[in-house]
Amino acid sequence: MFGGVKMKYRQDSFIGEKLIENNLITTSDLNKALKIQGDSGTLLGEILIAEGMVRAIDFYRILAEEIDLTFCSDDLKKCSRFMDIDLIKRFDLECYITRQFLPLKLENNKLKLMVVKQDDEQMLKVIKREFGEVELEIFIITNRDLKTILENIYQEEIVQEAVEGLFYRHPEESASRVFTKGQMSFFLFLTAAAVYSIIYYREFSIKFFLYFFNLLFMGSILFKFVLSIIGALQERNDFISEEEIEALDERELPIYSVLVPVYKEPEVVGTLIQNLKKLDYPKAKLDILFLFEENDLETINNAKEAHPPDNWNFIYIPKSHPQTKPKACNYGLKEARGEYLTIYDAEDIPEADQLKKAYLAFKKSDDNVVCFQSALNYYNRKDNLLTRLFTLEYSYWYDYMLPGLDALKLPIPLGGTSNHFKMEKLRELGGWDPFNVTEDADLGIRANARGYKVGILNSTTYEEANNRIKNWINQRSRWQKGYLQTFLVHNRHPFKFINNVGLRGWFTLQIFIGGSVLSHLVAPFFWLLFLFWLLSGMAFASEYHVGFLLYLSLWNLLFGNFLGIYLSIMAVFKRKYYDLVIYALLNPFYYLLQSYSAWKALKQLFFNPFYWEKTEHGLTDKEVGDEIDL
Amino acid sequence: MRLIFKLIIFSYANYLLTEYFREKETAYLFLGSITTALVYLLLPEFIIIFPFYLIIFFFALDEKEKKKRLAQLLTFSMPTLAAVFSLSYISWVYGYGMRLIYLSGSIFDLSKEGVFSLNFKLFLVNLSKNIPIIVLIYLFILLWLLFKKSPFRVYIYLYLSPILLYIAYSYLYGINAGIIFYVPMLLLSLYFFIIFSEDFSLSMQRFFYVFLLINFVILSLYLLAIITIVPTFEIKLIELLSKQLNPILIYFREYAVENWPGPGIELIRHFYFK
Repeated sequence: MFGGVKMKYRQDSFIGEKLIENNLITTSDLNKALKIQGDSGTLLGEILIAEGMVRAIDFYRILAEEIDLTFCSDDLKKCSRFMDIDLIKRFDLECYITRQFLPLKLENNKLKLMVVKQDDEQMLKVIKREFGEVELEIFIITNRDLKTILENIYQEEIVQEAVEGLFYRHPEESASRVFTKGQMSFFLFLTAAAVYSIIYYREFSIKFFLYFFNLLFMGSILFKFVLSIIGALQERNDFISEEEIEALDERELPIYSVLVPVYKEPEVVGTLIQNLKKLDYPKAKLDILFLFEENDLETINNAKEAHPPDNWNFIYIPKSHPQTKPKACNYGLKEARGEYLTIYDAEDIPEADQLKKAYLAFKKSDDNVVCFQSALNYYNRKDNLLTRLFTLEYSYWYDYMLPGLDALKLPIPLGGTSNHFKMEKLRELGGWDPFNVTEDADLGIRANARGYKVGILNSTTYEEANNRIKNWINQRSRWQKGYLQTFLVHNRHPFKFINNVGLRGWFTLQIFIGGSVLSHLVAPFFWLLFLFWLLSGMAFASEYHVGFLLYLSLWNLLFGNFLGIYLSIMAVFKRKYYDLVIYALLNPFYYLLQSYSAWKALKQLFFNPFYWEKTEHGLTDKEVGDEIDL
Repeated sequence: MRLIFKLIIFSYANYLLTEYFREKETAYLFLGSITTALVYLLLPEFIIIFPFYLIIFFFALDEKEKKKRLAQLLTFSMPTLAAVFSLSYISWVYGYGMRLIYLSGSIFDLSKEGVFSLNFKLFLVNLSKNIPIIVLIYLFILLWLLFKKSPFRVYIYLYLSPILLYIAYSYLYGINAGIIFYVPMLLLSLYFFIIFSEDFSLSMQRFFYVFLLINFVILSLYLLAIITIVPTFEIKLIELLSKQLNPILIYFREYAVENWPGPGIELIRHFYFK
């Protein structure tokens, strides 16, 4: 007995005592670890490492000594000499990552084997199934070293899979081709028809244009209105309650992978590590993978200086095209070993119990729910006018629109971070499309098209709102370009898509993904036309605006614009951001910015479709937690 | 559009706003506010009692949420104010000038000049004549609200809105607006009963149902009695009904309508079928 806490395993007591003897941990550390072990049911060593009480290399060295096995992390080169690549390739990478072992050589019915856990029954079963009854010569290795070896062996394969995996398996779902031949022909035909009718049927063409876009605006705003009201009706329905979280037995929690793609984020990576440490989830069951670009040395060094626990993984992604977040995530996906997986961006502050909520949400849902999207919001909303407007938009989107889509069982375009996946299903879906610059939205729609569902989780991740206009436009134009890519990809076979998701789902794609960008593209023309008419009283606009078209235009001008502003007021209610309400009236100016970035997005779609506009973070002076109660 | 339809929408708007205060659900506030704006579009006379609503939405707050005041007030008032502006803009587009508030007529017509006078004494006399109809169910819920929810709760004020609209309408046109305004009272009584049904004791519920039944029968007979004497409604269903109910209706018309001390039959016809 240590400090009144009962040991779970006899072996643990030996290891604990040995670590204390070697001055690697204190008695107090051991007691704390044993308490955690009682609650979470994980191995003592994993807890000590995950809690940062002991370095992995020290622990495994002592463990190897205790059980009289060779510890190969001290001399990796020596052990690597035994490696038989043909033997290694008998298993796939996923198996090694999940079961944490690596066969080195099979000679005279004796298998040299590197393992992290020498007595993992599942691993031993896998070995037995592949090699039969063999004598094992076991080498102990740290998880980090095992991953380094595996990366060296499989790197080329992982990169290829990360970049081309989706394209090879489902070329029609990849945005690597912006337009298919069919789409090219369609748009060329449309352009030719437009030019022809403008020349020969001017009045008809102008009327058609006005009707089409007026109806699109009307459909779009009404759809948003319905979604918002339905979303608002869900406002107080918490899918997972605090009581359910409290009643959760941590021993049943599975390993949870957390992908953290970071690129050129030296300012925030340290804070990020501190925030991740605050997650309320057994730390030994967290499989955190930082995804660095291998040439981003400043971020890597800053991350190292923040001293994350030894069970967190640093993955260095080799340079390859395209250099996008989804490619990095696909790379990380190959090395993740959790039953569930989520993604956090560099500036994210997730609510502490988010992973537990996600686990319970999956448990509570049907099998075909493959992902839960948490709400995103901003901790620096009071920075300036832009951050206030951005916060209003985000609050409205995540607190009302997405719950509305969820309640109506419509496809949900995922947000960039804090989406929680069932690992198995994510792999089945092919991961993220590295050529799509809103890979998240695309994945949500793709999941729906394959018959799966995406749910909404009542938990929030706080991010840093862009507080500079140029930076905001870069980010927004990337999102809009990605939406256009997603729209094009899923409209390649419209009838097949309708067959899979139904007409309502197809309609959502048109209005929500394509329609939203299209409205932003066209809106400035209508405003200019209106202003010109107002100031000059020219007859040109009046001659077309008669009868139904006049009523339609008046409806859009008066009710449509009003509703756009009015719905953004809704954003303040759920989070009690009442101080922002007056800023909602400035929504039309925000819309102008969106229109500008939509044009930038359209230009990039043709000239630089896969370019990832980097969003700078760490621009706010606000201290994390200044405006939120975490 | 028939006044009765407009009053039904008015009642529904009040129901949604009451639900908002009861359930604290944002959706009800938005729907109620937009429906209120629709009431204004259909029944511009509503603007007279709009300030009363503004006061409600300014003051009806939980103590802990004082910061919510502006958001709540803005959310409620914006649709109606936008509707006021929209009508003015449309008026301007059609060359009638930028008039701020319409009081009657279709939205594309010039407004009719209001009378803006009311003989209060006569008004009160007429109101008291209507009481035999409205008292049964409307006052039942009103008294229940006063005693059970206290006069300081927002529900009372919203519940009084049909009375205020009745007064405003009478004031604008210088006449007793009549039994037609019994419709929002009846509907609001029903809505309030639905909203607060959990708070009603079993005996109270029984009382309510009895009153509802009596009110329903009286109103049906009243409407049928009027309908049968309007030639434009001589459609087959009405004919059939009038044939079957003829003896009762003649009796009812003779004793309950034509000899009833409330608004005259011509006035009632005017409001129902104008």
